[in-house]
Amino acid sequence: MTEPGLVVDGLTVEIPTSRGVVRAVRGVTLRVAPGEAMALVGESGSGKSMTCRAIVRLLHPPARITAGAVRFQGRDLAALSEPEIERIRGTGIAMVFQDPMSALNPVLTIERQVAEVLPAAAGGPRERRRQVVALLRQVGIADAERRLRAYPHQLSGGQRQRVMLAIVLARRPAVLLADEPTTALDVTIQAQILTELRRLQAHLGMALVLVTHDLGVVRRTVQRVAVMYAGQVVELAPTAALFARPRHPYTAGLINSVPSVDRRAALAPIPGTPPDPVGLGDGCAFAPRCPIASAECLRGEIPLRAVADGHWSRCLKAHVVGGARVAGTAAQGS
Amino acid sequence: MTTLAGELAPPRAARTRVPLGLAAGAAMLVALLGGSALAPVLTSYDPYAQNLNAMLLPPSAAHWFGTDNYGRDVFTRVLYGAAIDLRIAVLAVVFPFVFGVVAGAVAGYLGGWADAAVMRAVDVITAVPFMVLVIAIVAFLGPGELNILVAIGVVDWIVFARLVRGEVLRDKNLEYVTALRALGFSRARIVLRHLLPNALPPAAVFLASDIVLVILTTSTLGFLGLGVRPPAPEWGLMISEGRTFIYTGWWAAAMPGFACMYAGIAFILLGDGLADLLRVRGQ
Amino acid sequence: MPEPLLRVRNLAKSFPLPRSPVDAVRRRPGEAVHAVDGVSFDVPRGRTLGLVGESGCGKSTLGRCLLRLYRPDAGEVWFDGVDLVRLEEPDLRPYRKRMQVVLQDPYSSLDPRQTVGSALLEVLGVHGIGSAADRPERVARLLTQVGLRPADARKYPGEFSGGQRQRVSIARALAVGPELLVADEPVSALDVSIQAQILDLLLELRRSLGLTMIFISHDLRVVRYLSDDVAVMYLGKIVEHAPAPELFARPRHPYTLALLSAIPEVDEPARPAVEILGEPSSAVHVPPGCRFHPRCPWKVERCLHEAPRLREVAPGHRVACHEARA
Repeated sequence: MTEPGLVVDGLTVEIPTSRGVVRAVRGVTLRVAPGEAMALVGESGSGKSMTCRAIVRLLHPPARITAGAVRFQGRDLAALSEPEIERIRGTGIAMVFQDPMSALNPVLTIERQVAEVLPAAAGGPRERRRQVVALLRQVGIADAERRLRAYPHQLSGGQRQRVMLAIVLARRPAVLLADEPTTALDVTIQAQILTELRRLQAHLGMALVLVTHDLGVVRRTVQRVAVMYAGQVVELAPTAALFARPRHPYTAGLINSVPSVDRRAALAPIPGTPPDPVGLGDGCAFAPRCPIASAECLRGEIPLRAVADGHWSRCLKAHVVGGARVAGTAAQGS
Repeated sequence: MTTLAGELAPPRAARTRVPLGLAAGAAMLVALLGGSALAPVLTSYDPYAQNLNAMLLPPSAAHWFGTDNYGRDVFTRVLYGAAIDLRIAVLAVVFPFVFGVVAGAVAGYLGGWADAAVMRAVDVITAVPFMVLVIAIVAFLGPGELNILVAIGVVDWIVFARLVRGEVLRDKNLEYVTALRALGFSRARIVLRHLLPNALPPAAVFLASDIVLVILTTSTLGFLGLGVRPPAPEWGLMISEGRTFIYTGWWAAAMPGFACMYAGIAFILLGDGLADLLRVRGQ
Repeated sequence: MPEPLLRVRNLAKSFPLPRSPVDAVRRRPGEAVHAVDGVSFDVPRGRTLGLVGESGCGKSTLGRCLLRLYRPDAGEVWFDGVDLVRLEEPDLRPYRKRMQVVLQDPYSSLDPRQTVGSALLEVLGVHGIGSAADRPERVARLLTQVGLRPADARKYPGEFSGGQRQRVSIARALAVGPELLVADEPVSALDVSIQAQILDLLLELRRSLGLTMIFISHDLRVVRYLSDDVAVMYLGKIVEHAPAPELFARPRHPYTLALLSAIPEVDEPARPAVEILGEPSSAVHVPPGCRFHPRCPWKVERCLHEAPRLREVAPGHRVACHEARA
């Protein structure tokens, strides 16, 4: 019996360095249902991008998967041979990156690069061109015919990201991994691309895993969120539940760190900095920065526990983590 | 996650560890210079005294490197020659280094006409192969140590100018220079106290390999009869003189050749070691 | 009404593009990027002006013109009654002490080979602040003021995290005791939790030192948090300028509306979405008439050929739009 969708089970990624082994991803377990949009959110060094790259086995050496499995279409991606994983990357799981310039070939025209991923049975040159134009139009490139002969550097960042989406559309993958796809773009362009991404996801019925540091983007785009800290998922919840009542102090702190244009509430920044990735112990990695931590938080591994329906938290005191904004403002006022 | 590599600072111990190459190169040089300085003590032979009874003797306990066609002890001459070759090499790179670094820094920071002037001069000199130009200048000025220094000085500064200009060009657009300008620091201070010190390490590293080039140039000029005059024990000159007897007494030419190689390897190790040291400190 | 600390009038700055050889031979005039194109505003003492806009709108160039890091092509920058545009470098020196800058990239804004302590000592020395004997004491105080430890003076920039480096940059700017601080995207390169720490530090320093600030950012959320007044820029011009509460409560320019609705808010969105199409026009070939018209949902015939002037539609609220209602 194969599970539908994508299942990440106890994924661990380690990077040997001169100072010791960095456990960049520590036992991440996720289930992405077909057609579901979920986000991996966290700050730099949290392991969110590394998780994403590990799923499709695009880690930069010396980083490597040391434990866990990635199950997709009845197979363990972590154990596949290189040619097999390449086939999966082509049509099963696609990926878009923060900088589409590096993902596109700088010396080939847009037409070549989109046409390349059309199925071999797509017909003659004229028919293929017609399909490329249709794909580019579908992702919102208005003057698609004129853009056919353009090279990536002649397009703006937003247009390049649209070309990447056209390539995704042509492949019709079951899962799309999007690693900070709008981080390099201006807000008005970001809004356009996110709209496009949602439309595409609904149209293809594909699952989306959005990696981002921006909680606002999360709120607008996905139904379910995994918050990562120091290589672990610390909270996993439906988007609405997470923002209504975060059940991990790190999530609460993150939400309270984002200023709003509509209310000039005081921020409640998280004190301190993320931990040294070398030599992380068993206890809660967030404890040194946590306002409610106590001695027991440092004793042994803390499991991810259900605190409500579909809402999981890796915090011993999940029950005392309050409503985000309210708690934050009160803390600031005292 | 992309910045993880950046977060992984180099191990602190590496900051103070002296690279192996640096130590080895320095040791080799100290041995050569020491041998040269102590030559009168180390050997009982006179580098100039001819002994027609001991012509082209092969290496032995009495003559470690054998003797040349005038019966002079090759080991003694190689030791004395080290003083001449290293002196010329070091003196010859001082002017090009200083002038090249300053010209490159000024060109890079000021840009405009200053940059244009320096870079056109660099282009003109680059257009002619290094050796051809040096030989032409020495041939024009006449042989001799001073003229070698002049010829190398005219030609060799361009590599340092180009190198430092590139470093300064890159650094001057970094935000810290903007911040220093906003702090009211003078141009001179920004160039001399901030840009130049940051551009110097690569130039200093290159300096070591440049000395190797100059040693080879000096011996080439000696070999061509355009360098130091005989009977001075200059390595290139010795190779040139020994070449005639290569079949009957290979050591007369080969031993000074090995000396060139030895000095070259020493400086290259020194340069590599220096590069490692500075790279670690820079992070 | 007291004299504002900073009074900017019709400031313009363009950067010539390299001319093609053919154009140069034919003596055709070269093209230029019109980064700042006629900007006027005042910043009263003790207030913070937020300059907001997307990449390429000229906000950073404007900041650098105010600091005289760039020489403006035209216009005036009156700082405490003196037009800085007319001053040359040696005469600018006393003003450099009075206005300082914090830049975006914490990784390149510090000299990598200088310890933090020696960098701060150098600044104090160059400006002859304090005696040589009490400068180390001042360095320790500056570091404490920005939330670092005096012992950090011995460290190199490479030993700090991004947020800590930004604290060092702030300490360096404060070392000369400035009245005006230009902060150019100071938190854009930082993680959210660290960003909030730096914003609160700036807020605290502004209060305790009575700083006047110009806060440049692409992020309206951050600008809102720190600014008393906000100026929105588009293609080298200010399109809307108002006190922050007024601007966020009653935005009048369609671009401001679009920016606001494009912000991915963590809270539930409070206003209807105004989506604008396309991408900003090029600052080389600026559209005729209103520069925003190619993307504007409200455009009428008049916008295509007549550039709107910045006009006051409510007390202190200026908008450059023909269609904006009072």
